[in-house]
Amino acid sequence: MDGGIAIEAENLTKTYGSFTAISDINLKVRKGEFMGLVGPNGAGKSTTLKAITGLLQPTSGTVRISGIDIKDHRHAMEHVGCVIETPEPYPGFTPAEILTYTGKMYGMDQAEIAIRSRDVLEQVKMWDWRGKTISGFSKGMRQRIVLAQALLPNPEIIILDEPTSGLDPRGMVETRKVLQNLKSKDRTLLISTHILSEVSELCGSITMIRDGRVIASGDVATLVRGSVKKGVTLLVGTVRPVSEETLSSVSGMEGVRSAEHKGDNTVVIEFDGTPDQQAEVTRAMFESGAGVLWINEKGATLESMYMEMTEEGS
Amino acid sequence: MSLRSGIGDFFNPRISGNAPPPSEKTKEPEPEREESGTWRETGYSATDEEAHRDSVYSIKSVLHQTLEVFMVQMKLFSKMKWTYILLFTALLIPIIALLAPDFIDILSTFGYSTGYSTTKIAGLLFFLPLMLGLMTSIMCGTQMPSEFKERTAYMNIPMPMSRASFFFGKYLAGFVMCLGIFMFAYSMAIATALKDYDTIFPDLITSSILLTLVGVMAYSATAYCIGCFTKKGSSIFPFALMSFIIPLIVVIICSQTDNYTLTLLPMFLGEAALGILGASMTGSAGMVILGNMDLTATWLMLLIGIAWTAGFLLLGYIRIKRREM
Repeated sequence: MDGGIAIEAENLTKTYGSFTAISDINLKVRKGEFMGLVGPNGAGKSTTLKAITGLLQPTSGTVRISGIDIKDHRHAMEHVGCVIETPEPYPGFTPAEILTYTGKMYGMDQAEIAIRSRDVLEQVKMWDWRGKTISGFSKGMRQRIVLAQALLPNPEIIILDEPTSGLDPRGMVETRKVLQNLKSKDRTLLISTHILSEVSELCGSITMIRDGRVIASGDVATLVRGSVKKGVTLLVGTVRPVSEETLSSVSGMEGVRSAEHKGDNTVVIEFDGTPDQQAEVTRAMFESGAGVLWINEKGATLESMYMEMTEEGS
Repeated sequence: MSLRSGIGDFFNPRISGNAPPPSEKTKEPEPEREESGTWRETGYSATDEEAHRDSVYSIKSVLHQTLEVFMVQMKLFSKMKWTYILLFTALLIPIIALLAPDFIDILSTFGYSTGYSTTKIAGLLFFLPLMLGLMTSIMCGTQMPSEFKERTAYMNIPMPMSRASFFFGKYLAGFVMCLGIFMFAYSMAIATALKDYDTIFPDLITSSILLTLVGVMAYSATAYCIGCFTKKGSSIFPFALMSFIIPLIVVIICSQTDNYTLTLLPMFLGEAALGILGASMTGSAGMVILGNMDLTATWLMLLIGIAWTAGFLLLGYIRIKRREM
């Protein structure tokens, strides 16, 4: 790999006549990193992934996969498994036949194909359907087959475009489990998705695109902490009402912006201090004698950051 | 693994199947191996550790990948009903000759001499020029458009293969399939003619087959290339173009100018293939100028046909290479 970089896109631009789909996209995915590509509809996520995987030629800019220019498509994609733009397997084939074809294209021998096919089909819960013709499958089942096809050659890099769209909730959970397992194998994942909880669950870093441009990129936690909305809201549920004295005392503590009743036995504390100061506030509530039942924390989330950054005009 | 089992394994991948006998007994039973000694019904022996090892694979050559695409396309053809309909059409030749010999005699005598086996063969292959256009349009005209319409191209193209492998592998399969059906038709016609005649003329038959072969190349390349430029694909348009529109235009030009050079074009290879066997009538639009074709210039027709094929394939390849997905 080139300096530990698995996927690198530099100044990627794609125009269709006078329309610019993506402009100066710079993206680096390190080996072993799981990166989410997020953005509103029409932002340019699919165009970016298509340019990265060689499905379309960028107007300008370069793409390297494992240090190899994507113009040398065969070698650049040799250790890449991808699912882009809702591909479909041949309807007259069976999953076994599709995987055999895929395996041969990646240079696998028959024994490897058979063993790996068993593995990946079990992972996507399609082993029992291996001999059935795909034309009879539902959309979700066909999606699992293309995912299995992408994972068959044990790729070092996996690029997925909305892999869980069209799947039922169970299918989504199972797909995420499959992707999470890849972390332990030191794989690199670049995933485009609308589902932010999926990004939070799977990815350590994100790149956010809007109107064809990158508007944010980096570690998820760092980006969320650095978003405009600062601080957290602490909701404290108690057995007995909290006294005014206690509220007044908590309001004056360091890091506390405000503390007020919300209903009889709930207190809302707006807090933007340090974790140690938050611990002090929590201790004060416990020592108030009101009998703390529960404490919930609501803070800046990926969703709130996404909504803020993708808002029109911002 | 033997070649036979390798070919067999492509069409019947041994993901589940009869297991080979256990290689050797171990002192402690391994829970991951079935009694048959294979790893979880795959038909291959392996431990869990071996099965889950972190393997890295290397792609094979462009030629190898092109052949894989070819094999997959052939398999797709084997699942198409049209393949069997067209094969059955060729099978009709001896059936009609057997059940309706008078009909064949009519075709054979309609401007033919019936004294030779070759003219009998030409009679049996009366509709060959028309079938050249029809068959290649059906088999090759929709190959590429269907890949994009059914989104199977989005499974193929991201794989580590060049678009050239994808393009030429599919074309090769279409050409071989069509050629196979025509050769089957020729064999039926020759076998049927030999029932009535003792002598065949191998040089004439060879020339006829060569002309048909290049005709299949040219027609299938044209249909394939036209398909690359269309979204939905069409069997009708390439068929109409090659079998009616262009031949009729050429007929008009030739009759007006009294110059028959244009009959060297690949649209008339079917007529030439039958003409060389002694036919003076064929079931096609080009039959009106069959009598004016220079059948001594077959080598030139072959060259032009090959050049035509190369030109259309290049055009189609450029289109697919630049196609944005």
